[in-house]
Amino acid sequence: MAAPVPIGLKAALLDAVRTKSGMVGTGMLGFLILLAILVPVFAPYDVIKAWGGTDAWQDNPKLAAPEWSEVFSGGKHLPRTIFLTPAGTPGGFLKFRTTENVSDGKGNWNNFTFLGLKKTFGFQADDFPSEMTVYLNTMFTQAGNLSKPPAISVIFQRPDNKNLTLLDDTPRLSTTDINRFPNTKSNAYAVSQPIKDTPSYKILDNLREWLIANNVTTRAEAYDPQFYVQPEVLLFAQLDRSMLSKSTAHVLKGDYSLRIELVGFENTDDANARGIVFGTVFGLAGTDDARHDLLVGLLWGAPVALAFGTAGALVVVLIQMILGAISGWYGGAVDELVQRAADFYLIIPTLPILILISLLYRPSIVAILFILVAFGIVGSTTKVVRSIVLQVKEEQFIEAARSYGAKKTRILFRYILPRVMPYTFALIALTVPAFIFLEASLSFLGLGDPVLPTWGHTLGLAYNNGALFYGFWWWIVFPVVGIIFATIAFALLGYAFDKVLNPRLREQ
Amino acid sequence: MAVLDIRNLIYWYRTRRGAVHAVDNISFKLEQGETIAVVGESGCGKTSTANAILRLLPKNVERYEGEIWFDGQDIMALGNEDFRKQVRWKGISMVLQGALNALNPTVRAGAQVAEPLIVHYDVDRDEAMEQAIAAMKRVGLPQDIARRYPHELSGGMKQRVVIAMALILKPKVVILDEPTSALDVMTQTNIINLLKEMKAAEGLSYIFITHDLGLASDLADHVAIMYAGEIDEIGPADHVFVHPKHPYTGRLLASVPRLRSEDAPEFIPGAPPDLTRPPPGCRFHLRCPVAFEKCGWVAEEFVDRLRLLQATTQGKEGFPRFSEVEARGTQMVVLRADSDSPETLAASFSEFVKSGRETNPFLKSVRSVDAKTKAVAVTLHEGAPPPLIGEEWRAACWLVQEATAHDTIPA
Amino acid sequence: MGVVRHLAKRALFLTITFILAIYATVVIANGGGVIDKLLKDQIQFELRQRYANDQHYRQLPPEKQQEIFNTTYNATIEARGLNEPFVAKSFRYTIDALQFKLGLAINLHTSDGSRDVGAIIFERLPRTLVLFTVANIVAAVFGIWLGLWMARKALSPFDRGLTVLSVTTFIVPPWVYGILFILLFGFTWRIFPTAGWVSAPPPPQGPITDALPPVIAMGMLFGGFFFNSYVRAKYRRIGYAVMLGGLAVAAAWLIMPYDYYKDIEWHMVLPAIAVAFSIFGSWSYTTRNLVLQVMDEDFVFAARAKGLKERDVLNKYVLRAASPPIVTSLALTLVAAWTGAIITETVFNYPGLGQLFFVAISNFDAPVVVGLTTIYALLLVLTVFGLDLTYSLLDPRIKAMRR
Ligand SMILES: Nc1ncnc2c1ncn2[C@@H]1O[C@H](COP(=O)(O)OP(=O)(O)O)[C@@H](O)[C@H]1O
Ligand code: SF4
Ligand SMILES: [Mg+2]
Repeated sequence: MAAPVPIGLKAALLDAVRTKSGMVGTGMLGFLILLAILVPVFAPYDVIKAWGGTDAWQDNPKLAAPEWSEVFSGGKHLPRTIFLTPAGTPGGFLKFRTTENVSDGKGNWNNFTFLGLKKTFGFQADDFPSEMTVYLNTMFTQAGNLSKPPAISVIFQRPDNKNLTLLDDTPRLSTTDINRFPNTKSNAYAVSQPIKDTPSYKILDNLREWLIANNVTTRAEAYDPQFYVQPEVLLFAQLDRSMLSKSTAHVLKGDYSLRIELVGFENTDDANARGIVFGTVFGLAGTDDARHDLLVGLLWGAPVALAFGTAGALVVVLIQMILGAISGWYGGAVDELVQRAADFYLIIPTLPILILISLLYRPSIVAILFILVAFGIVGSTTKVVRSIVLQVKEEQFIEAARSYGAKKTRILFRYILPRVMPYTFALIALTVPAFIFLEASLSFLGLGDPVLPTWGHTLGLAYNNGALFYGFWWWIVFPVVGIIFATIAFALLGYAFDKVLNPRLREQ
Repeated sequence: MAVLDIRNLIYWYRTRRGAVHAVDNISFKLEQGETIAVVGESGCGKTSTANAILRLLPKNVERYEGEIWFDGQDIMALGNEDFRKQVRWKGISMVLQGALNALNPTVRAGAQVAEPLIVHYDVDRDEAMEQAIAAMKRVGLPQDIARRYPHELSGGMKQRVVIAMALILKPKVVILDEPTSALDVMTQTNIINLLKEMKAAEGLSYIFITHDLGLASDLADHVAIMYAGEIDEIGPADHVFVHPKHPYTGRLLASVPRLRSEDAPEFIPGAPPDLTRPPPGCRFHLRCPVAFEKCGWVAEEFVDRLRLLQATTQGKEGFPRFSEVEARGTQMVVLRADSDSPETLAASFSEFVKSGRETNPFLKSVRSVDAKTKAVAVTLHEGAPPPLIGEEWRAACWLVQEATAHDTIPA
Repeated sequence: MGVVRHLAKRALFLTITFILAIYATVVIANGGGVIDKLLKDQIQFELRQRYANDQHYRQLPPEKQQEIFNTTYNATIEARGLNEPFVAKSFRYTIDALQFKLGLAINLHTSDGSRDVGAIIFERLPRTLVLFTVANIVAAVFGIWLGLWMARKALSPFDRGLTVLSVTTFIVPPWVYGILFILLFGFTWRIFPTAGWVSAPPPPQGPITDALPPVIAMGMLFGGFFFNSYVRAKYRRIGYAVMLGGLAVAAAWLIMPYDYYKDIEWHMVLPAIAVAFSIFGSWSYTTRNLVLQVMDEDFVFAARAKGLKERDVLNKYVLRAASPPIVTSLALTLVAAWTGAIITETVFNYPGLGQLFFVAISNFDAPVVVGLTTIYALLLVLTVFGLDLTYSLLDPRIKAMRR
């Protein structure tokens, strides 16, 4: 009554791909494969190897939303990261340096170096930057107590000319460095989250004094232990009482400059500076708390998920198919054995055991794949294939082959398996998502591959770092979308196969 | 008056590859107490015809039109609920193709036979069971069968159960869709005899669907020969089977193996056409040994045939040496040669057509062969589907129209 | 009789499988002995720490120190049963587990401090049971209803759309929905609590009857629904009335004071929706296909030919034939949901068995892992056997096959 079922694998494939869901699924899968091919070009594997470290990412803002999310901010212009590049680079800091030798009249000459670095930048965003850091590279001579390290001040100039000195510092060397020539010292001054007992911690006191001097607060108020306003807000806010809370503060738009002054006590002293005013938005997919560009991680998730899912599904389904075919075809004791094995696998709790193994051995992604395969030797595919084989067995062409004396094994491989193949394809397509999600589940629990930033891994980090609670939606949504996109591609393909092979479901 | 009169029944399925013209404008009558056999190769639309009569439609119906007069009423005009109440089983019942699977595996045979009584007449269960047992007795089943499940019955018994079920409401018309094709020969004969008895006893009219001409001739008063969704020939059984008018009927008869005959059975070459794209003109023309100009050849078919011929007679003397052949529209074929000039090719092709006409009927469709500047244009005759001609005994073949303009029933 | 023999055979096989599965879990849960080593190292480390701070001990001569250390160490190992070779121990563990002597947990305990594995499990069992049963039933009822509807409208745009929706939603596990739902309903719109099982501190506790309204509401909704699917059109008004009543009860519950039980129920809504969302598609898709498959059977076709009403064809023939496989998967998914609960419960920080599983595994608390697995496997074995039993007794075909 119903239209015929395409028997060959190729016919089934073609028919399946031609259905609407097949086309959509193929399109989605094609996109993923393209991505998988292009990603290593766009972001080489080295980038991923460096995922665990911090160096590669330190210039990115922390927990920044994707740039395009600005669209939802009600017309607000959100700050991008501003790089204040060192002197000597185009558009970098301007540098003035003079040296002077002054005699104290007793035959001693004091040698001075005066150095100024200045960079002006416009700030036109409607929100405050998320952080600000100044990196200073000072080169000076300090051998024992013979000469003094240079004195540095970092000055912040505002459009309203209410300037302030952020900090004064004398970079001191640790004793082990002292006898190395020339001495250099790199200092990073975290303006926005100064750490106690570092030079930049002075920023807080300088800010207090600045607020008092400009009559924004009383002294008592400013030195109240409860008093705290993020420096990056105060620095970029209009100068009045509203600036004392981020929610009321108004951004002061205009040209700011960062000025660094150095007085050195040798003619050879020198310095260069670099600064970053971190934005609140970044790239296409934002960043996480370790400043990773999430886009890179997300894109790398595609080839990993694809490879893991297909490899696992392929191997498991093929093994299960062969076992199912053998069990259905030979019957008897073999069949009984396979069936009992299926019962056994049904009853042992795979996921808990998998979690246990992952916890004990922290296997790499490849090892996880092997374990999963070991736990999937028999399963639902065995059952499906077995029942198909039992049906096919009764068909006439098998009888015919048998009657002219073909060997059982030969019939199995020549006639039975090819008949089962198309169904196997459907099962593979439907099993891939299961594997992708298994990997994601383990990674989510922090038990996946220790190196690769898979989607599950990213999601787990996001969850554990309170991304839900603080509303870092991009950190959650994109990996979820990635996983769902990949699995839906396969689900649609599997469904298309199902539809072609199962005439009742067909769009006739 | 005919108990069932089907007029211009059209029933197409919708599929992704296009509409399946399973039943394409079919008309026939069934007289009270008679049997009409519907005969044809499998896939020609017999079951679809039966389902269409009982309005047993799947979801993918593309067209379902025509008139079905039953008992003086056009049942096509009935609403679904009325149709269910008045026609199904009460008026027309059916022994489904693959009847052996038509029994619900989880319900006892007796209950299944009794079910129509409960559904249609609201008879209470015990009463219905009693009647069912009686009906089963009439088809030769012992009483205890009623309590058995279908899998506990043999094929022959199941078939009897199904027949008892079909007769339980005493319908006027019973459609028998290949009622014996899954049975062995002995059981087949028994069932056929049973059907004859039941017909005589209960005054039934049968539509007997089969691909087995022997059975058809045994049981039928009238025959309708179906091919590719159409009726090719219809008439009294003893005429159609003895002097078939339609070439297809002739081939069909020749393909039946005979016990007492020297002639080996001849199979009809080729396969029935794809019903999503039934051939234009006479649907049989691709397989018809006597097809000619009018039968509806089109360029595409011509090209296929010519290529096939070229492949099988490659290089033989007299075969025109063309290198390319392609269809232009429906009625023109263009030939090109590498070596010969168009004129030479045209001449050799004309010669070939003339000599090959009898062995290869498709060549008859050539109307003219013209040499153009670079190629040869072969124009084909226009064809048309042949109408069903005749009164009592009708056939749809252009040859029939020419030979017998009026109804001839040989004495 | 055949059925009895068949069942006896099945029971025997399932028992063997059960024992094997328990043994496998014992071996794996103890890391094949690796965990013993870990534990021994840990004990050694702890003893060192303890003695390092013990002034009295430090003044003793080294030989004496060593001696004391060794005796304490050996005693501890003995007490913890770590001195036996692993193979011998694995058999003892298995036998204990089979007798449901689940023993004491290594470091997990109930809220009132009991380390009895049985007590730990049964403290949490009801929470998981309630959550997943409710979610599964909601999903099953909704999915089956949707599937029937899709089958009736098979191949229409409606059916195609819903089929694709079903196929694509059930492939995603509940915890992924969980995360999205927490983000949306928990943090963005703040409708539902985002984690846990009860607020801290818990709201005042009323009488247990306060817990009833949602149960009643759900019962009325489903009751009306089932009623309607079995009665003729003219009685369906009653079903609708009952369902409306159910909605009213649900609404009343919403405005009831927020007490202990409502708090617990309110905490269950989001995880239950996540679980239900990830499985209803499997129900609707399977139901649709099964129904269409059965509808295509000759005997169903015959029923229509006989003049049965479509509704009767569906109820008497199709559903009857399609329900055994549906019931099978209902039973199996219900039990299987338990292991699936691990990550879902972890995401929602819901203190049920799944989360217990995860915590036990992370703490290498083998007795708890083995105990959980034993109970889980037992449930599964019983389900499989129960299904077998039911079929053998009900379906004449299977009966015949076994003869
Ligand atoms: N439900 C259906 N959908 C699409 N095509 C169908 C359907 N049922 C039958 N067909 C097609 O219609 C044609 C006629 O079928 P059928 O009536 O069963 O032929 P017959 O009974 O003569 O063997 C066949 O080509 C068959 O493939
Ligand atoms: S019309 Fe007659 S002669 Fe022509 S093809 Fe058809 S059956 Fe043959
Ligand atoms: Mg047929």
